[in-house]
Amino acid sequence: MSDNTQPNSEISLLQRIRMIYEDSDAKSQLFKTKLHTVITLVSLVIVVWALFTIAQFLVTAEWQVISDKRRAFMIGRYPEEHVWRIWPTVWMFAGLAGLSSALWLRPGRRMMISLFIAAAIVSYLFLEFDSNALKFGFGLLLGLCGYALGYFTYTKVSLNALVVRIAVLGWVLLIPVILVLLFIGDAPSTNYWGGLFVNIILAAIAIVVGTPLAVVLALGRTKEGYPIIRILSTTIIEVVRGAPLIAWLFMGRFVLPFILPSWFGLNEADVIIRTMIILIVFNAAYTAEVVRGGLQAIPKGQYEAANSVGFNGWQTLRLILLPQALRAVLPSLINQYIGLFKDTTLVYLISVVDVLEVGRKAFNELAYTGTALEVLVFVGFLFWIVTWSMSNLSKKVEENLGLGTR
Amino acid sequence: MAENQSNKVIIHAENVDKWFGNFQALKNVSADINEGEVVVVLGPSGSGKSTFIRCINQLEEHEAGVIVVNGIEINDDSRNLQKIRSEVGMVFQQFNLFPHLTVLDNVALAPRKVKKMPKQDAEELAMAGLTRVGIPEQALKFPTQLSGGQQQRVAIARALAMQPKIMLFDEPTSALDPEMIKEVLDVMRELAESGITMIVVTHEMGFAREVADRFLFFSEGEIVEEGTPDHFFNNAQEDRTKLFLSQIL
Repeated sequence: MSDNTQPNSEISLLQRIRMIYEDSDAKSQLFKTKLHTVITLVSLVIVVWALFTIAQFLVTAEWQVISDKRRAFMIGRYPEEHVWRIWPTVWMFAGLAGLSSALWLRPGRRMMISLFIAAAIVSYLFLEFDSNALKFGFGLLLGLCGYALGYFTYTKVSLNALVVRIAVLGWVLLIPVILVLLFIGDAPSTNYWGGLFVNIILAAIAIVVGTPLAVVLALGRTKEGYPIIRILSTTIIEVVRGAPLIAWLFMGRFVLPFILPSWFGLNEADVIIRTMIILIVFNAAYTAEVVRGGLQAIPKGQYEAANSVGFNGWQTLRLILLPQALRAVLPSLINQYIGLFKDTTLVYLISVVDVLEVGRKAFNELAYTGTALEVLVFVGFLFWIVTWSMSNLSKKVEENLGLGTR
Repeated sequence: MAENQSNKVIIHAENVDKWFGNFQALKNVSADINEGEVVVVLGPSGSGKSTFIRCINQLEEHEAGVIVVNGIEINDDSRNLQKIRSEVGMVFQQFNLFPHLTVLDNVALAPRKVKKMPKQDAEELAMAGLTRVGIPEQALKFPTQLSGGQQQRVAIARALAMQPKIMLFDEPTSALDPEMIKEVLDVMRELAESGITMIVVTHEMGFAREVADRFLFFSEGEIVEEGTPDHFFNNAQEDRTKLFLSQIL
């Protein structure tokens, strides 16, 4: 019986592969010459071996630690009675993401499927149907509502303009809302912040605050600027880039309290706040050079044309130069942001318990001995989801802006 | 064209000097241009003719001398500069359209942002301008999707949208393929007939002879000779003028 079915299913699979193979242009490429044939066969062996190894690992791995520690992975030891401070931003983000993707990205079927898979994976993390699953479901629902709103107002000109305004306003307000929610009232100390939440918030603030600062630094460093401002900008950029991030983080931990002015108790600020300041400046210095590259690539004729139609300096910058410069450097910009996001794991050195540190603590526990690989794969997967979304987003934005074609 | 002219001087340049490092691009240049006049500036390459018109809207700063445009003297006051630039439109050799904006936005942006015109009015104005230069159907395209001649016509519409009193043309057809030169010259001819003050740097002698009220001939940073087209073609006095004309015709 099994002797009969086994070859049958194999044939059908082979037939299917052959069909794919006949349809594609692989036929002309994979076995073009003897060398092509050798490379094809060797790669095939490697791919099969790799897939087999990965499958074996996934089946035999001990995933219990992930399930047990899923709360810590997400928010560290943030007190349960204060978790309400986090959910609204998740909901706001979900709604805005849904709305914006409908408004600006016009996702194709493939993108929707990957979004769905990503959402399904994240929901699995909250799968024990407690109140968190419900709250998470509410986020998904808001995302869908946002998408529907964007989708159905897309063709209605006046309504679309209003919805676009709401979306932009929402994104602008997102970080302030997060900060207000996290600090309002009898909020827990930032020492309780932890998990992926810390990585995301540090990276988001460094990007959102650091990028405008980067534009200022980049402009300060251009040839046309006042000499004093130019020297100042150049010094900031070179000094910040001159030392490793770890050195700056230690600086923020141990030295910054003595340097910072005492406005609003800034010199007594928590480690996290000081780390935010460090990351903002660090990101700004690197991003400034990227932006400067973009500004330099703009032909002189653009400045002259802008001047000749009567734009003042600020209008020329905002309407003509920056849109072109930022478009030109979008890939490098996203590259910088992805790097920054991953660099946030370094905060464990100044005793902030980020997602990687949660993982390290977990597999050092006696109960979870020998689960280092599982934990690291999982943490890597979390990072990959975020960075992969960022790179996909930038690809989509580039397409929409018609980079390279206009 | 002569019938459009008044005797009101709209551009007054007096003893203007301009240096690029050690190279003196303009030497003691003086010229008066009347409202409605069409002036063609001629001269060999490097003679200072582009520098001269770029001083009028201060894309180049002059080092000495006086330039008065429409009653406003150019000085360090940036508000004066802003005022002058909104009176003076400029068309460049390389078009210099804004590549990230549609054709319509290229034309409508300055009226909206500089003159604070409502978006809808600015777009209507822009469409009227694009119709005037003969390419309203290209409004929603991006500049690189257009031919060189079309791009230059958009650039003219963009400059006109600010409703300037004076139009400067810096070799507007030099970067164009031969078959596209005519469409741009046709637009400029129509413009010259409309009575706007024009200063044109060009090597298109047929066009220049047809539309110009006056020629200015530059050589080595100086105005060597000036006069009507007839004067230049039949009765040029200076050797340098004759040599230049013999080379170009």
